Amino acid sequence: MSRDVSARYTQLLQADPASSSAAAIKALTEIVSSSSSTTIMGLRDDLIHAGQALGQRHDAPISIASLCELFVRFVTRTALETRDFEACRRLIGERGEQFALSVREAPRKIAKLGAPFVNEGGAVMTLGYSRIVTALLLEAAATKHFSVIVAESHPHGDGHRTARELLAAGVPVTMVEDAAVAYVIARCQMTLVGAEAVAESGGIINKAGTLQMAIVAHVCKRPFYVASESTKFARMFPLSQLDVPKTEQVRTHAAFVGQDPPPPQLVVEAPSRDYTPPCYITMLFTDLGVLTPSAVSDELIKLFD
Amino acid sequence: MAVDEESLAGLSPAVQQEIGRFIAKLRRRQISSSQDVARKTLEIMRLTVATAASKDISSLIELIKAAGRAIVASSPHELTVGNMVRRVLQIVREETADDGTKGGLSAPTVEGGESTSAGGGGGSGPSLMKLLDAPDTTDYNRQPVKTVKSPILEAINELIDELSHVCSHIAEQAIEHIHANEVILTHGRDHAVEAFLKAAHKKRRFEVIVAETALSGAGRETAVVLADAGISTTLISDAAVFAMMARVNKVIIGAHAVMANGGLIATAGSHLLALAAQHASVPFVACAGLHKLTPIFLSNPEQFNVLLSPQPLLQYDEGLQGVHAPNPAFDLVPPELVSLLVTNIGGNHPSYIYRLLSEYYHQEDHNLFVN
Repeated sequence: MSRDVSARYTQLLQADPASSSAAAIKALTEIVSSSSSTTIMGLRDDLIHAGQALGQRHDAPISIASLCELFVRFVTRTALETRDFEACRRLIGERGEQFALSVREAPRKIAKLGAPFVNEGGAVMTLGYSRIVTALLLEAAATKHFSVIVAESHPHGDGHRTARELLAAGVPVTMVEDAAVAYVIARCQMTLVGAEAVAESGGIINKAGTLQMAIVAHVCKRPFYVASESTKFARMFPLSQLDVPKTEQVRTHAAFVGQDPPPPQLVVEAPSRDYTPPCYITMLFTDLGVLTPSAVSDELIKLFD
Repeated sequence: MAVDEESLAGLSPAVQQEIGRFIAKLRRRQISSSQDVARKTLEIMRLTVATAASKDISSLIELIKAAGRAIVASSPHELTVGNMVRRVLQIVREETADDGTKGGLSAPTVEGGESTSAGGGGGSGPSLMKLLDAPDTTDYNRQPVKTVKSPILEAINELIDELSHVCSHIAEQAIEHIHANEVILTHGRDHAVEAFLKAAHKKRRFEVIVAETALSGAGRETAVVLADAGISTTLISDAAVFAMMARVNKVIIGAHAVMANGGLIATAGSHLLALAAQHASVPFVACAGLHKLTPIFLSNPEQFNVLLSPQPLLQYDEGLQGVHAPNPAFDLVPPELVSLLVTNIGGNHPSYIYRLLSEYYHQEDHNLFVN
């Protein structure tokens, strides 16, 4: 069973690599419709196991636990209202598909909500690549003139993708190194980043370099906005960088690319994610609306209590 | 400049006339208290609903929006107008939804039950819990106005009634916030703050320092009113605020509007006051009725400011030629400087405002100018 869901997830992710949450939702929906259980409790257990199986994968969304909880809750509630098991299962399947579709709509919704925050003639700083941030900036660019400063975001260099997409739409882009974020902040009106996950504290887990940008923005009193779907809300409460889920990949440290191999006794650390605490975040643009960090915990508490 | 004729086409002549009069009064600043503005707006809304010839709810909503837009467009800085229009729209939506479930218009049992069970007090806004639920299917086009008209009018009347108690509800909380022998700093003139201080005076002895609030001198009026009420009052100049702050236990001010991020639009000088309070770690409390709750995020602070007459700053015959004398009416106080917002339903932290917004306004109504 768990092997099935994992394999299916891989397929779905290959078909649409843009959104791991949509793939996870689809995989969970399929569990419901293909499950051999004949009772609601059985269905619940199948869902929970599938969620756990996905949770062990490194390419699964960090928020997989809360996504799974959404389904489990819905199963319980539907069961209370509908007596017929088959009807219940069908309903859950239908809603799951609708949900996966609505996840695709989320970037457009968030873009509409967040675009008014970009000022005419201002400069927006961002880092790495995020579908939603790009969508938001393109939406704003339809009615306003502004420029974007993109931090490259080592070690992946995703910032170049953002720059390419924005340039194609005619938005002026300046590329800077991650280390130059503090240098350019004075010219920026606001900073805007995406998120891999939004923690219960309202803080975010995102590409390494996000925390540093947030601290710089905080010190220079620039608003630091986050654009993220609500499917990325994760039930976790990181207290320090040690609590950030590790990614599997082992990479050569950016500083040594194209140079002599580093001395063997040198320890090389190249974290790909970091955790930005809520105190640095001004607002989060989500498909649930524009939220303060404390609103995120509110949503998650409502889901799990 | 006349009211946009086209947008008012669907409204009855009586409503159009009322709107025209109201707009003229707002322009001449004959109504300045936000409570009066709110009441007048609600009265116009009541008339709009009562005289509406619309057959279905969606055209009623459009009609209300059109009336609201006409007033808002003429004086965009009176944010209370928009807020009241949104409250009325929310009433219409709620009454329609109630009627729908009662009349059994929305079909299967599963969907029907959700509108009540899923909410959990979270208001009308979307929530993580509701992601898997069926989308809100209230079909405003098919609902007749006739059945809901009287409950809507009743709810508007209740809202008008609630408005007249805003100050007293805020004042009731005063003794929780003002303790014996405290020193309170305030500025400007605000009815809610006045009522708040007077209510506390009934139970406690405390001292109030009032900053004069040049150029309007509104602080002087407050000082006179408070001294008349028997409160020990000290009047200082605005420049002395920082020096006095060390002795102050609490800053209490009124607000023109509370924005969606929890920030305030308040009398010019409030931001300075808030910064001085932060420097001295003095709590900064704002008193504002819920009619001032505005679901708009200000990205540009100048967006909602008004420039008043430069006369008190620079006399006409003073002979200073080529000198600019702007006299902005408002300041934008960022939410991180506000410790507490005392509203007529209780005290709230600015970070909690989003919750009130989803409770009182429908998300589709946040921007009245988008259909």
